[in-house]
Amino acid sequence: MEPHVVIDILLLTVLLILGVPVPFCFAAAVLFLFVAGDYASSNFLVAAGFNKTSSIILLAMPLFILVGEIMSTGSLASRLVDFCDSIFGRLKGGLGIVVVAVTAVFGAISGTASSAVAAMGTIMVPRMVERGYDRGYAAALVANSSVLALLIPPSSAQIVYGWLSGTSIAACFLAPIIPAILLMTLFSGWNFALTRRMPIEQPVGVAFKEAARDVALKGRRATFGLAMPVLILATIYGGIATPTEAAAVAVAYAVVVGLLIYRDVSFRDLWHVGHRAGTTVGVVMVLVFFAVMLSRLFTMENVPHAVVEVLLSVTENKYVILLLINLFLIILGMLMDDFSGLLLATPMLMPVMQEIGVHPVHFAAIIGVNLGMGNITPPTAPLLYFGARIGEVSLDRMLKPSLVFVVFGYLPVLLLTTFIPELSLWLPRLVLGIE
Amino acid sequence: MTDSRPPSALHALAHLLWNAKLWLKRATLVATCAGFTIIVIVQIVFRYFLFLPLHGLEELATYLAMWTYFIGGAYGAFERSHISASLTEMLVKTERITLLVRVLVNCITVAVALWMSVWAFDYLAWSVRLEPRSLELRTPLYWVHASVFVGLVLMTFYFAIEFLENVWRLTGRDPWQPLPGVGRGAD
Repeated sequence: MEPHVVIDILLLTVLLILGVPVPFCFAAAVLFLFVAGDYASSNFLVAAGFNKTSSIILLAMPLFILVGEIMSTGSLASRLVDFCDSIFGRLKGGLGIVVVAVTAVFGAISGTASSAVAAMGTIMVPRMVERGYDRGYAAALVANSSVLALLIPPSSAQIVYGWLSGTSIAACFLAPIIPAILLMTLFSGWNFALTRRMPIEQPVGVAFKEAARDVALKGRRATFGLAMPVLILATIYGGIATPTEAAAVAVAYAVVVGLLIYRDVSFRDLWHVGHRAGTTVGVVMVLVFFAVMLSRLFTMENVPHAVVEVLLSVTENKYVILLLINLFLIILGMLMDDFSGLLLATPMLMPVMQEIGVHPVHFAAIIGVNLGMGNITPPTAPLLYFGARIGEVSLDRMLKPSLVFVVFGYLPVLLLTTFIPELSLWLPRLVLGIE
Repeated sequence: MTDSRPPSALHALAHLLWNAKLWLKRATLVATCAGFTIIVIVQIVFRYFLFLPLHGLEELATYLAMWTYFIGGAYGAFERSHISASLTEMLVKTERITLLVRVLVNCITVAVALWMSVWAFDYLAWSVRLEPRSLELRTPLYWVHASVFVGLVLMTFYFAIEFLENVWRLTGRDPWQPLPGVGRGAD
């Protein structure tokens, strides 16, 4: 690797640690490499950023963010909570399972983890505290479960990965589903273990017939919300529409449900939804724009090839390389959010994956679980901080349960996802028939 | 101490312009989001129900989205919601050093954003001069390329304000206190 490239990577790291907004860390790295590499005109870089960003595939992301914002505005989240509460709430510690299950379903609707934290945290933390759960634990469970929104389709991170790596987005959506189910199972199990000594109210027992009637009633109230992921996934995997078109249909559906059926979203709300979603999208896409420019320069400077050479010079064993890559991604996830990590790591690591024979769809699941975990591992743990703010609790009260979820939840799932490719390839092969 | 003087005409005008600019950005975000959603839906209706493929709609949707991206980025700079790691702020406990680091970070951000704005201007100038056109609609692309320049200039502007605010704070004063009637505008 050329010395100016090494200095560039060091500069990028220093700026990230200093706290310069990530898009402008990427932009500074672009500037340095441009000057040091003695390139003639900047126009080709701006053109690269523009051409890659103005993609119809990427348009799915703002549309799914719009869906999430519309659905978070109305009463959908509380309807889903009531429905899951009617099923699991009768178990001692069952409210914890409700959080995990509803966050997964809500994630399937909204596709963004922060809206899952906002919606679930506001509803579930007070409800859990009222029933005797520790506030720090409740906020930690919400924050940790919200990562499921990044793994369960439609996931914005998987759209960006598919677009960056030229992999089918429909396949990328399917790859992390089984790891997500494993995570849900582990979280639910640990929930019982961690809440055993908490003074949780024992729910009042009711007759089976009455309980079934309650589930049916709450289920009916949440039908339109529950139908949303089915609608999105059926249109994509039924071959009816592309992910972008399915996302647009989902926006129309969410508007109709909010405005006309549930009647809990007004036109004034839609105005706020528009500018909130626009801002969220803008913040991510400016990052994408500069990441594309940096990635173009890295390619011209042969950085991905150098990364392959460095890794293969350490070992040629596929499993050791995968471990090293996971370690690198864990550190990356601790330093930056999932989007920034994804944009930086995907172009650099894809050639390594091709070299050692890892399927790009398998890598979608590895990178998804890994960088998703990064969102709740300090020092850069945006979802944990957000969970603390929403749950009105100090971060140190959330750290112990979070550590349990990371060490005994995420890490085993990450290792299983990495070393058992079938976990992420079985569904895409079954549904889409990929090689 | 709070200044109780009534706001001058200049301050009132500045306030008005500031809020108008924010409103315009919000309106652009809402209009472009609505625009590209409607365009994709219209395309679906024409393609799957009327069996009439309309060429150029996808292009138009992505071009509107480019305005959403860059005006959204500018609004993010106003709200200070751009993603950052801020590890030093966690490690440094002294308020003054934290503020110094913040000023340094702001300074770097403004410089980089300004440089990128110059690049975006060069690209826009090239686009106006040579008039490259889109593949399907054959429309000139400078109105889309302008989104990058406008967005980056606005981001530079908001980062510069943040920089000045923090420099002001370093001197031990509240940056917004001495200006009667002039705030940052409603969010």
